[in-house]
This record gives sequence, structure tokens and C-alpha cells, in this order.
Amino acid sequence: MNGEEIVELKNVTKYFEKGFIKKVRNYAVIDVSLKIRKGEIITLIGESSCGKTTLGRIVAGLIRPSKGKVLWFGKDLWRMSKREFNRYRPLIQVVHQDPYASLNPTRTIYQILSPIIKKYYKPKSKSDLLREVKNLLGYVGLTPPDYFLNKYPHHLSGGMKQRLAFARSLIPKPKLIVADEPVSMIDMSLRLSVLGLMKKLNEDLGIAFIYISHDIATARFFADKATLALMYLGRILEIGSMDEVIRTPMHPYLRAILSASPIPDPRIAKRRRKIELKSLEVPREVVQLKGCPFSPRCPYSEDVCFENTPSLKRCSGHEVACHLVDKLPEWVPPWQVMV
Amino acid sequence: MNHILRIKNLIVEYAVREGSLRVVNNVSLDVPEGKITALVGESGCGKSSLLDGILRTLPPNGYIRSNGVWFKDINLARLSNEELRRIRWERIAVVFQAAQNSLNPVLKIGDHVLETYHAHRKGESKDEILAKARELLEMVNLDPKQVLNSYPYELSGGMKQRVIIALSLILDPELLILDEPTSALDTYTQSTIIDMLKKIHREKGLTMFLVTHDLPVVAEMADYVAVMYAGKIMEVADVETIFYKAKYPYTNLLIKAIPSLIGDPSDRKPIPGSPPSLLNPPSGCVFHPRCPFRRPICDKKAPPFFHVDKSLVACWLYGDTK
Repeated sequence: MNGEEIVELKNVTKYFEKGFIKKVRNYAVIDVSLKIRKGEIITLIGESSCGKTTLGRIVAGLIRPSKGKVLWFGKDLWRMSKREFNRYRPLIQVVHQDPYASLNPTRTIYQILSPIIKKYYKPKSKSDLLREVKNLLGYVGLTPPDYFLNKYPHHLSGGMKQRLAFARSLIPKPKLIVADEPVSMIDMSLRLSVLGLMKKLNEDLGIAFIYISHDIATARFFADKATLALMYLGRILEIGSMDEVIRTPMHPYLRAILSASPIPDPRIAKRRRKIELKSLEVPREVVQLKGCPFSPRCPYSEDVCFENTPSLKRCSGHEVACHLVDKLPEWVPPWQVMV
Repeated sequence: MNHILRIKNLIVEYAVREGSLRVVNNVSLDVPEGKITALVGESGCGKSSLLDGILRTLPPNGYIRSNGVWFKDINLARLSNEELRRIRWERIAVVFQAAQNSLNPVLKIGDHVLETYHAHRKGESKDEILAKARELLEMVNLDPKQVLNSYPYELSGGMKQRVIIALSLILDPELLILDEPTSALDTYTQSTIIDMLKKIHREKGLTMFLVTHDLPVVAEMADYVAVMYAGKIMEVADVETIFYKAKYPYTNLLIKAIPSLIGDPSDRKPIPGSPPSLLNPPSGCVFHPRCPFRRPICDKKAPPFFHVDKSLVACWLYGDTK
């Protein structure tokens, strides 16, 4: 332990049980290990119901994993004393997807921010408090701050609301922010500016990020030096640096998603050929624990894929969980063919 | 070029407590027949209200004025409610935003198809209608046997969306309006739906009018694009002109503001400022407060349309080139 790790997950599994007499286990996260170091960015990419939000909540200590360990600053989160927990808790913040729901609609911006600033900064006077609130608003780009102080959340656009949510999460000087789809509900033209704010927080303040999204393009804009982890049905299938993973995607699922990602360029987009999967639907009912989770949809799957679960192995600079990694056909992303 | 839909000076206003909110401001637009035309704009720019204005599906506080909304040779603005109801879905079908929720939860898909059909046409037998439904469901890669006997809750979001697309074609419409057809769907499902719509367009030659904020989807599907901002259409051109040689500053900024998998991420820049409030729109050109090429005239007078190369653009930058 070199003290650099903020959160470490060790073989974390989370299932939800349903049913009263006959319990059915619904696996959301299966055997995931992950380390987040100081100032690092990890982007979790996956389609809906792949377990990425659950994983984010486990990292943030909001839910307890069924199996495995969560370490915060090297200490077991679910065994630490209450005092320790209270010390670490503020250092790991969450920004949610829906800024319309995460801000109290009956309070002004000043009323939302000032109690938290009071608690953490203990300002000596009212004018100190006001100055802190204004500084914070200015820092996240809600300028001029005086204009915003007495506004209610419904006066703000989606992008501004999300800036306010970030402002609030910054007050305890966090080391890590778990950002769960922070831009998916914001307009195209404003997404970049919110991503830009996150970038600034990472670069200026050294805050580590777990960025959860289904959209590789926004992840790529946020941090080209980040680690990209691809999730599918609770498992991580491919993990490596963003650059490399996008340049040489290995897992058939990642290739399929990349081949299907829309590209804002009509000449490339109109000639795009996507990789056809065996089935369009994600099997939702029961998560199978045997075999590769992607095997029923994978166009290349063989017998071995249905029998054994592949583990992450090193392959062309990143880690991939696929049995057929050496047998896969060459594949070049569509935009590279054109350029 | 034939135009299937010609909108002339359409105005849509909502009466709200603070006064009247003009969300569609004097919009004129022609939709060419047999092509896919896209209407692009940010949320709140009035694009969904424009659709409501065309089909008269506004909430009770909405008011419409126009010099005519022509569908082929019928003026929709002059029709009675009953006459318009007959045209909706039968000749102009609409796939609404979050269409997943527009299926009746207590009807099986098969019954839903029959109900929709019988609301418009009489005479054909149940078997004939269901045979047609089967054909359309196969076209969108669904298993008709299973789907027709399912309730909506038994289907995934992507499947429901495909059911709605199939259902919209059951009466052989001449115009299909798609309002954000792929939002709220996963990447792979989204591209599957786009491929299906393109296939339907190719095979049936069906005219489509796509309303979206999602520019990558536009790049992939559309032939023509109209850019809307704060209740006004600001630029109309073919898709390549819009993406490579757009004339209106907002169009260029918008295209530069989309995160993409290609190109250098540092080329991407957000648009400064935020969209104006429609209660209190800026004077002159509605984009002037955010425009980097602002001129003295821009905040005084609203620009008319100018023909520049292949674009039709409402911007004073091209005012004196004529």
C-alpha cells in the first residue's frame, strides 16, 4: 500500500435477491477488481443494466457488496469505525445523472450551498460565508455569482444545474467524484462545457473521477488519458488506456459497440457497416454465471465460450476477457478505413 | 422537386402566466417528397411544438396561426378536427419521442394493431390485418408470433420502439414523422433502429421527417437538414453542406460541439452562452448574443433568408454579398 490508492475493489460481487420462499439471485456486479489512484480517471462504459451504476454505488459506499472487499484509503470500508467512516465519507462524492432530481427545488442556490460551506469551512461571519459561496459559483462557471445567488434550480438550464451539483460536491474538498452519466440529460451543445468543467477539476484540483457513461465519445472528450473499462452484464470485459482501447479494440462486444457508434460526419456515417450480433436483445431474465456473458450474442462464439468464463488477460497493451482473443479476425474501426 | 409538406409562416404560441410564449416564430419550411429531412435543434428550441403545430396536437393553452400548412394539396390548417383525425396516422404517421410509452399497457400488441386499424378503416378481416402486421414486424426483425401475443411490459425498450415503427406503417402512410426516434436507447439498439428506418425508406420510398437534437443520427440518415434555434429556422441545406460547409455560425458551432469518436478531442469546443428565454427573446437575430461574428445590424433587425451556395440561411453575414 503506497497510500496513493483512494479506492480499491477486491473481487467484488453484488447480487439482489428477490422472491420470498424461493430466492432468486440477480447479479448486478460479478467479481470485479479495480483500483483508483490519486488524480486518475476511470470511465466505466456499458449499456443499460450492465451494472455500471451499481459498481459506482459500491465504490461510493452507498451499497454493501455481497462478496469481496472495498478499501477506502487502504482500509476496509465495511469494517472501519464510525469515526473513521465520518472522516473519509466526505472525500468521496457522487454527482448523479439527473440534476432535476438531485437539487432541492424549494431552496435557492445560496440556501443549497451555504449550510454545507458552514459545516466544512466554519466561516467567521456572514460576509465570509457569502464570499465563499460566490467564489465557488465563480469557480464552476456560474457567473456572475450575484445573479445566481437567489435563483431557484428551476431557473437554471440542465447544464447550469449540473454545474451547481458539481459545486456542491466540491465543498468537502473530495479526492474522488463518482459521476454517474453526468451529461446524458444535457443538451448536445452544453455537454462539452460540463465535461470541460470536470476536466478542469481533475487537472487543477487533482480530483480522481469515476465517469460512468454509455457513450464512448463523451468519455473520450473528457479524458483521452483515462482508463476505459467496458462492462457487460456485471463483468469487466476489457480494460486499458482510452487511446489504445479505441485504437485497437479487441473484445467482440467493444468492436460491435464501436461499429455502431454514431459519427457526426455524413460521408463516414452513411457508409458505416456495423458488426451484426446474433441477438439484438440483452438476456435480461437470469444472468448466467457459466461461460462468457457475451457468448449468446457473440458472432464468433465457440463451445468453450459457453463453458468457461474467461478472465482478463493481457493483450496488445490492455486487458481483455475473451477466449478467442488470438483467433479473432482483424478489425479496423470504420473511421480509420475512411481516413 | 416535389414537396409533400409545405409550411407557410407557422406561429405557435402558448398562453402562460407570464404572457404569451412564442415557441415557433414564423416558420416556413418545405419537406421534399421521397427524401429524409431532418429538423435539428436543442431542447426548448420549439421543434416538437412545430410538429404539434402541423398536426394540431397542442395542449389547450397552445395557439396556432399560419398562412397554411399544405400536405400535398390539402391545407391541414383548414380541416375540421374530424377530417384531420382521418389524415393523422392514415396518411401522416408519427413516432413520438419515448414511443416506448405510447403503447397501451393493457392491450396485447395484436389487439393494439387491430384497434388502430379499425379506428381508420373498415372492411378488412382480422386475418388480413394481422398478416400485414406480421409482415411489418418481420421487417423490423421481430418475431411476429411472439410479439403479437405479448403485452408491452414483456418487451424491451428497443423492441417496443420497433413495434411502434411497424405499427406506424400499418396504414401505408405517405409521410412518417419521427420525433427523437432513438433517444433513450443503447448505442447498439439505436444503430439497429436507424438501419431499419433506412431500409424502410429505401424499400418503400417513404418520405421521412426526422426531428432530433442528435446530430450523429442526422449525419447518418438525413438527405436535407433544417436547423432551428429559439423558435426560428435559421439554415436549410443538404446534409453534406450542413456538416462540411455550413453558412450559419450556430450550425458550425453546434457541429464543433459534439463529442466524437474521430478527430482530435481538443478541436471540440462548447458554444459559449446559453439559449435565450423565449419569453423575452433577443432583438434582431435571435442568435446574436452568442454569435462570434456579430455585426452592428444583428441586434436591430431580424435577418431574412439569403441564398448562399447550396444553403438557405438567415444571417446578416451574407446580407451584402447579394
